[in-house]
Amino acid sequence: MTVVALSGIRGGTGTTSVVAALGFALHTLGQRVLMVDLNPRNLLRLHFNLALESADGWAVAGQEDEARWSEALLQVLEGLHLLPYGTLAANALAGLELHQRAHPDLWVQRLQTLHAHFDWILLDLPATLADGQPGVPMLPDTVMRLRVLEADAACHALLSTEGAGDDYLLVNRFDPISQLQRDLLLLWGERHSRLIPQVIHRDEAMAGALAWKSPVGYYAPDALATRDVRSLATWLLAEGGHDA
Amino acid sequence: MTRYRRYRQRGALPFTAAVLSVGTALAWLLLRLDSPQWQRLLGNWRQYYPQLAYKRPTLGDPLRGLVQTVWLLLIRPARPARGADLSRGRGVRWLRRLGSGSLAMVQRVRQPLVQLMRRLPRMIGGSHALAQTQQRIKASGTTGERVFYWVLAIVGMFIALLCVTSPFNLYAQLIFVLTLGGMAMLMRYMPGRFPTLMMIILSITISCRYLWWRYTSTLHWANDLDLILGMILLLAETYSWLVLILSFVQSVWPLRRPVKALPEDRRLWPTVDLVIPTYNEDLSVVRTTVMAALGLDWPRDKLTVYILDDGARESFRAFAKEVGVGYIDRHDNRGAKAGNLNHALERLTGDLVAVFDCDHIPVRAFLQLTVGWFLQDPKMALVQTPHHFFSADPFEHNLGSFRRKPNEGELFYGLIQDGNDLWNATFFCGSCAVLRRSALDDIGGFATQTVTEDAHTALRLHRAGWNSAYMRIPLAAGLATDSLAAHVRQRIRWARGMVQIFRLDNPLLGKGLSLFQRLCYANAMLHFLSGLPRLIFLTAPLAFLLLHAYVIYAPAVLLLLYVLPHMVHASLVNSRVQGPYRQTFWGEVYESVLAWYIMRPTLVALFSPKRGAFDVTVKGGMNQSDRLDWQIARPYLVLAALNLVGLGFAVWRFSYGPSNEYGTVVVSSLWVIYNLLLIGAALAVAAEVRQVRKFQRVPVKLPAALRLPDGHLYPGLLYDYSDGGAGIELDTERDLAPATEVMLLLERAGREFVFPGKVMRTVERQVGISLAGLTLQQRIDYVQCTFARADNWLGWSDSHVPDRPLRSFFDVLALGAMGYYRVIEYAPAWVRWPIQPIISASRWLLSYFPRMPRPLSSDSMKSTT
Repeated sequence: MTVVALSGIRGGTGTTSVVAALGFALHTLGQRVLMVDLNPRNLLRLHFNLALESADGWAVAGQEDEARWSEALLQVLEGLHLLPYGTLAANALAGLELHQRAHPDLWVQRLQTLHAHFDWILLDLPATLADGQPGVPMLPDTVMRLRVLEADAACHALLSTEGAGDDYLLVNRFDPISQLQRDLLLLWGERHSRLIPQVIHRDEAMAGALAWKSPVGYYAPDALATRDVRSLATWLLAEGGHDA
Repeated sequence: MTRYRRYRQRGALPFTAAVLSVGTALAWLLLRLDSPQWQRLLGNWRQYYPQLAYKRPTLGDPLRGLVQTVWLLLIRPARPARGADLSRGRGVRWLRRLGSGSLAMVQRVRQPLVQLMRRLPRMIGGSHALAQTQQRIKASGTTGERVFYWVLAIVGMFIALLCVTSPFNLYAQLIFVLTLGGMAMLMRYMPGRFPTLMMIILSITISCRYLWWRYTSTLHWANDLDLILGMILLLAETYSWLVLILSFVQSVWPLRRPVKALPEDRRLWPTVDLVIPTYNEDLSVVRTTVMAALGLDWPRDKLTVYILDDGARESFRAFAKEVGVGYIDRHDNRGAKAGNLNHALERLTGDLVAVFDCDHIPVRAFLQLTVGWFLQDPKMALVQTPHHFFSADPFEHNLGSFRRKPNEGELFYGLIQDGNDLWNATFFCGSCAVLRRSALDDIGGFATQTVTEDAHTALRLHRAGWNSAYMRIPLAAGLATDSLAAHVRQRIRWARGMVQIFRLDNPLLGKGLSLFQRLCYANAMLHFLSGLPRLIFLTAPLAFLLLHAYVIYAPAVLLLLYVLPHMVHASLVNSRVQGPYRQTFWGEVYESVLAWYIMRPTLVALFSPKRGAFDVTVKGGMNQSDRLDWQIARPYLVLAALNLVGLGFAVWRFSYGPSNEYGTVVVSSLWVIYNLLLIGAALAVAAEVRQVRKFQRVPVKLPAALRLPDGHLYPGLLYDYSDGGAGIELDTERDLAPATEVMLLLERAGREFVFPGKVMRTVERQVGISLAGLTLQQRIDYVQCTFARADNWLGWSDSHVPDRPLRSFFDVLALGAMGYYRVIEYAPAWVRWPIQPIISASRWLLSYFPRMPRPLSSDSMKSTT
């Protein structure tokens, strides 16, 4: 099993859509996949046609009884599973945070129990917050970290000031028409050895996918973005294979 | 009524459709067509009646169907055994079975022999006795070794001399040639270079024996006419023999030089001036080359690109300024291209000079792969790479052999240059090459005395003791000459130039060259003198048939026993050595086409080398209409007519002549027929097939994507591109209206580029895009994403069919027949009208002939629709 944690280097880089698309792509490659939403905004579920009002999720299920957190697990397709966050009230969210701080290895244990059932676990983490900060659970060291960014000046600034450590960098919404984006990609390619050689293009299909409440691979199987994500999944299979 | 409409839809005339639909209705009335048997037949009728499957319905079709039905029911077994041969009748099948039985017997003997031959080199290489012997020879010291090899050589020479000169009677000769032929046939299966050498030795022995026999016992001294004509033929044969031997020397051991890596430290890399001489070519041609040159992988400060404009055109100056390359013009045009280059040399300062004709587009890796040798060897003056063409030359597009068969230039660039390289005799070919500046200065610049400045420059470099190298990797590509006339003009220039060098600066004489360099140059020059000998061969049998001259004064059987082995051995060796670069017998076709045209200029150049002006090859442009180039074809029509008359004489001589001449008549007639077919092949080339596109499209397979105005992106495969447009095959079908503005996404070395374009047409998944409105930078990027890709031309010859000498022989013969067919097809009406009805009638009659049912494939649909 390989755990991949995806988070944006800043907000709004399209991480959730990438998680949904990547999960679907890995599934089409014959992998058993679980996508876990760790973002309190609870949007990942919308990529899998859940109703806007549906409030179930691991956070809600675990509220009454700690052991029942995994009951919120949904099967999207045979071999493709989803664990939504669930909708919590503000005070409940604060309580969850306290609980997580008291048990920092909560998710380490939970991932342990999921270990045998999946080949890939994709974690959709909120942006801006680095590991260990409030709201973000501690993860085991073996997790493969993937930072989603756009080729723009803000991301470049954040990369320059904060850096990305050993995390992989994935460029989303790449638009080759933009000279700036092309130049930044060239620059990052030289500076960052962990830049993934596969970008995801800015494609209208990616935007349409969420509106259609499905992952992009399902919504537009012939789009370039779909092929990009498929290549990314293949790359992960090769890369994750020798990491594990 | 629906039936009538369906017939009409398939193109039937109203009356025909009416008759046929009434007929069908009657058939339904009288026959039980709804029974399962009939239904099965009707369901697959296209398979059982292939001749009707995709044709326009006509009144003759019921009869055709009837003939086919009768044939299917009575002659062809209804349900043949699996694997049985369906294509022949019973008698033929019986013969075939007999044949295959005896063939199987032969195979049973042959197979183990072939296996043994394949293993033999390894067995010999691993043999203990051989290693011991070698050690013993080595142990005896250098003198001993030398003596041993000299003795071996002398004994070998003595045996060879014996083989060549001893006179044999008919049976002895028969046994001799069968033995040698058998040896060569077996050696064919042995891999490696040593068996090739053995086959060459066998071939040389047989050829020398043939020539010896011709000189000593086939001249008719008693008759003056016989003697003179005989001597002429014999001299032509001696020429061919000489060229054959020299070509063996030249191609016996192709060097296959590897790439020399450049040092890590870029400061050691030399500075390069890349020059693009142009005279009257279109700016659109030059532009692509310049843009590709700008993208070469080389430090920016060490590469300068220059356009050398001999036409002094303002548009070129402006373009050079726009893209930031150097521009050098001059006004006197003296010395043509060489003069142009020399004029520019005065202004250049780089260590190396790379020369590109304006229509040869370099790939980005060109300098990286060639310059290494200059750093390795301080005496290296020239690194040449092949001239590769991404459009079909006139032979290819008139014969439809583009990319399926090696083209005319492939023998030279694939084999001969590599063979020359072994002897340090690589020729400079005027383009796609890098030269050392100091070496050029040493010999006083490019040679200007002849019209082939390139070969002459190389010759002078070699004379001055400089080295040369050949890299057999296509690193540049260009347009081939697009009409036969232009092709012929170009060859005339080369031929004239080479012969000029032969006279003015003979490589066999003078100082500074090694023996093998002399031979390589001499062969290249002799090769261009082939015009006259070829014409002699094309007319030689007429000497007997028309004039009753015994040009070869020998019994026909004996002649066959001498000449056939000579031809067979030469073909076997050539097939083995040259097979991948030129298919057997195709050289004859190329030579025959050019023979008449290069004969006169080469002879003129041979006797007065100073005459004749420089002639620039015309490239680019379209042929106006589908037509035959009568201008070019005329001499061959005359030759064909002569040979036909000869054939008539042969019939007459056979009917009324003395019986002791029968053999000679038969042999002469066979020769005439062979000549006729060769001439026919030349005529087939003269029938120009129309070229539709102004920009040559290059077929590729590159990942690409299309961006639509609504922001959707679709991946696909770029399947061809040209200067002004590209074709992309999308993964799924997409309905794109013409003139939709789209963006084409291409990738180069991990970077992506976007090119705005317009949809021209959409056919299923294929979308044609015009890229007319690119900005300058986009255009440069586009050229570098397409034409200048480093791996562009590497797998080009993968689709060649392998050479099989006998097959190739029949291909050439079939081509000859096609040549005549085309001549009639394109002939003016007064020639055509007496013949055309015969052709049409025979075609019409043939259409009633039963056909073999075959499974329907998309392929067969293409050929009939």
